[in-house]
Amino acid sequence: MTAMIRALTWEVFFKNRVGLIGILLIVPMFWLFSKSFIDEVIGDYVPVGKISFAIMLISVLFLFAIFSYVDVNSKEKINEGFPPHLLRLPLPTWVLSVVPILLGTLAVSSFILLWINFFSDIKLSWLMQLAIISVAGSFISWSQATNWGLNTPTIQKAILLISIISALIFSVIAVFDINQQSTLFSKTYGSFGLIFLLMSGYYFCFLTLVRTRQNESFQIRLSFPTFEISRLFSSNSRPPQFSNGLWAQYWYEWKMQAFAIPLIIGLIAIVELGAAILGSERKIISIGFVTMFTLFLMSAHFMACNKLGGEDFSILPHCATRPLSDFDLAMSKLHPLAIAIFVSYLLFVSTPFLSLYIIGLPDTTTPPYGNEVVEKFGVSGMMALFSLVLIIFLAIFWAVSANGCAILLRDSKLIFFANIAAFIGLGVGLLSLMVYFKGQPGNFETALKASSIYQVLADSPHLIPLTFTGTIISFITFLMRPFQRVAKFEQLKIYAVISSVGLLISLGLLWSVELPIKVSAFASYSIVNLFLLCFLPFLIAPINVSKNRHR
Amino acid sequence: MHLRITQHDGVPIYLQIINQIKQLITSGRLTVDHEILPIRVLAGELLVNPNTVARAYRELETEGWVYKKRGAGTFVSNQQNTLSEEVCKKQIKDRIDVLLTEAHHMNISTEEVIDLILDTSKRKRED
Amino acid sequence: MQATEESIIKIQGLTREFGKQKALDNVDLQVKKGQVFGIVGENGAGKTTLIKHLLGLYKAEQGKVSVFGFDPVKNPAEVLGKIGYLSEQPDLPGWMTISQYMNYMSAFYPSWDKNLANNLIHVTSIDPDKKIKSLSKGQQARIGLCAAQAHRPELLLLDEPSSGLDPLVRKEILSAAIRTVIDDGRSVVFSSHYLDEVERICDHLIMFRGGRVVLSASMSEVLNNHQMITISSAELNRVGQDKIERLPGLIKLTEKRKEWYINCFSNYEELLPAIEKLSLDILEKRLMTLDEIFLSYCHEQKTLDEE
Repeated sequence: MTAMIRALTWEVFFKNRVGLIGILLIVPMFWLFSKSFIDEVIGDYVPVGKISFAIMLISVLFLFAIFSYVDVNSKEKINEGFPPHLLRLPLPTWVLSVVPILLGTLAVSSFILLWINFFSDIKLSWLMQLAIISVAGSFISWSQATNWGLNTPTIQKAILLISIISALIFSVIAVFDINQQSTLFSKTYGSFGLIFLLMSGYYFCFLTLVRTRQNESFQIRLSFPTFEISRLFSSNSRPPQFSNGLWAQYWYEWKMQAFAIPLIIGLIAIVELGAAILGSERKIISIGFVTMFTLFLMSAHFMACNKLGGEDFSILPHCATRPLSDFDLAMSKLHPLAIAIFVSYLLFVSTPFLSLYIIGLPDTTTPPYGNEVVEKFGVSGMMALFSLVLIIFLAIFWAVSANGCAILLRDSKLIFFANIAAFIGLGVGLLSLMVYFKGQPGNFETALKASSIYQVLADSPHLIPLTFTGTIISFITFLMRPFQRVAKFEQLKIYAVISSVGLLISLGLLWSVELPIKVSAFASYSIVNLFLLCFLPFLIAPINVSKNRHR
Repeated sequence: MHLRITQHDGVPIYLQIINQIKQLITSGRLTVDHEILPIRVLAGELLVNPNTVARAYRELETEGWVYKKRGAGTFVSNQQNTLSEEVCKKQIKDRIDVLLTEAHHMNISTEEVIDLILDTSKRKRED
Repeated sequence: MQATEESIIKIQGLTREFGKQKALDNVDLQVKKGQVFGIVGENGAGKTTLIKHLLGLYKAEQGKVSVFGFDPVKNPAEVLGKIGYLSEQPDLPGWMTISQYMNYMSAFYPSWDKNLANNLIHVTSIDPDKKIKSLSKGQQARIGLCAAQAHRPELLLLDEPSSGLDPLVRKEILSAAIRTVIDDGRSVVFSSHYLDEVERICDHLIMFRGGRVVLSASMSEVLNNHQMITISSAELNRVGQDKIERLPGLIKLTEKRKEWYINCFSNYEELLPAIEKLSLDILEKRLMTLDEIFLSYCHEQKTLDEE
């Protein structure tokens, strides 16, 4: 039996060796961003702690995915739940269910604890570290169980998972005893809650496997009449009608992938609001902020791949044989992404304010630094600047996601890695710039102003932004010919109109505030570049879809 | 009109259709001036290419078993009147050919075959 | 139902390489309107690669592909809108229910007939509210077939649709093909391993081997002109193997237990005089079955040494 357990363990690790090695390689990145190194050098200017946390979060999510022990029959792309070939091993069911959960829990919690103890400045007692282990274990066992119990309707699985996650969060807050006022959520109750969740999660997994082995599906039977509630969510009774194929494909992409983006961000928003209601600190809110931001970056990946959370960017044969032109097929990806980003952005923007309002911070009616801005530019100026900032942020999110999605749609490993390399290169370049300026005598601002780059910028503010604009425009010209082979320029008109309108509104808002001319000019050029970047995905995506679809 | 196609014994499909229709006609299950299934319908039922069915119907028409009415379909013809003697004789001759080849393989002489034919014919008349 | 002279598919000199291997080698083929066009060949012979070129999933490296007069890569919407396609692997979106799927598909084809679609689904006796991922492979194939037929496509394209399916589903597939071609002007391209099905419904046959077209003829030509002639070893030695190898239309010459089997593809007018010229003493002469025809074009088979 030990031999088989060893074989089981080996299989789990071997299947995901690439991912695991990748995760391990992240550890040096932690070291880089730890208190002992970069923090001293640039810690005043770069939120090292937040970056470190973000990296840890992304890695943990990847680890969850790795240890989500579900067999996907890649030939038929059907999710089969627990790997059927393992069910036939002569191992008792409790062993079969405990091994993947144990491995996952060990991996995730050791990773998190490693980060906490060596790479961040958070101090935790042994009880809290135990709490983290049990949280990881509970999450893994419950998500595994919902994955293995195949025939439960998705909406029931989702409700179950949401409830578990909420229960986990409440227990954690109680254990960490953040809100020292309430006696309801004391450490004891919190600990009991965590232990209960952990054991029930494991037991649920075990039950699911027992049923699967007996070839029955494990259904969660809710005691109150479910069919009426499920009618609320199910659209099976009246399937939607479409006027043409393009709308049908939009619907497909929305239901397939895009809905997940606002859904996840919405869930985080709900948790945030819950935390605020419980009276927890700003720290949790800023954690939520960072998480949401990370997810925006991941939305490009979500949309471009052909299955939610997959790594395959090739267009599914089923989609590739739709009677749509390459341009329409590309738009069927970008359009739902736009809606998803817009909805997520609304959630993203409103949540901190709602949370802060609930917490009852003073001056929640004015945005951060509101008072200083009002002094300088008046109330209308502040509103203008604030709206401008909102638009700019939306444009940035769109530009990053849509361009990322459009690039990923090429399904070219080379371009993918070149993209990552460019991203990392940019980050490293930025950091080294900051390090360089830190090394200069005096503080950052004087060093910056003394540098040659700043001199050039101050004398001719047009030079750098113009160069950047010129690069983008020549890039667009370069793309024109391959674009015209797959689409007609008229199809782009509407998107050109939207970008131009956004640009004009932004410029109008900018110039309505009385800023120094040079600053306004610089800002104007930057905004123009930004909107050109927003327009770029509509060129790149059809070209890449064409290359992807016709190999 | 129920036909069955088998692909195991090497007989071409169109020939099977012809033979079975002929049998149905001679056995009386398809009566004179009765309409036989349109080509499309038969092709859909038997799951064979319509051209195959069309070819079978053409040969049946040539041999005089059926006739076509313009715009109305294909009908069983009155055999006695329209079936030509040469065609009938040719069919019998083909059967004799097969019979004699088989007999030759089994080392039965032609005279013995004739004797067997006369024997069988006598027995048929007595029944 | 007679195939007209108009071609709906024209392929000229199509070549496609994957690395060093030629999946398609200088393929020429034409499919005429109203034909049921059969494609056979061993696994990996190039059938699926060819069909993917027709759908525009592959771009022609060398040569030209024209479907309904359009290049499927340059005009995917025009070409795909007239094709009903059923692939070998079920690739239907599992998360949709059947009725959602039929609704989704109906949006793409202006010629979609809602009554026909409902009838086809009704005949399958599968509950339309079931999710596609809960269906078996055969049931998914049936649903895919309904969707492919419901818009009465000008071309029904079936890529080894029957593989691994039970006889009921295979019957439905053949039925769909016949139903298509009965409607004037519509055609079927059908690639299959099941030679009996190919023999039943196809009126033209093309056979691939190693990416090349080794046989392209009407079904009646194929069935009537493939002869198998048996002669004794002694006879072969008397006449000389080289003379036998020059018989018109020779495909394969094999020896088994002191008898030689000559497989030829040629009509009577060519073969008979050639045989008479050699005054060949024939033990047996008969037409080959489609199975035998297929095997004779395949690569040399090694037999298990059981002695």
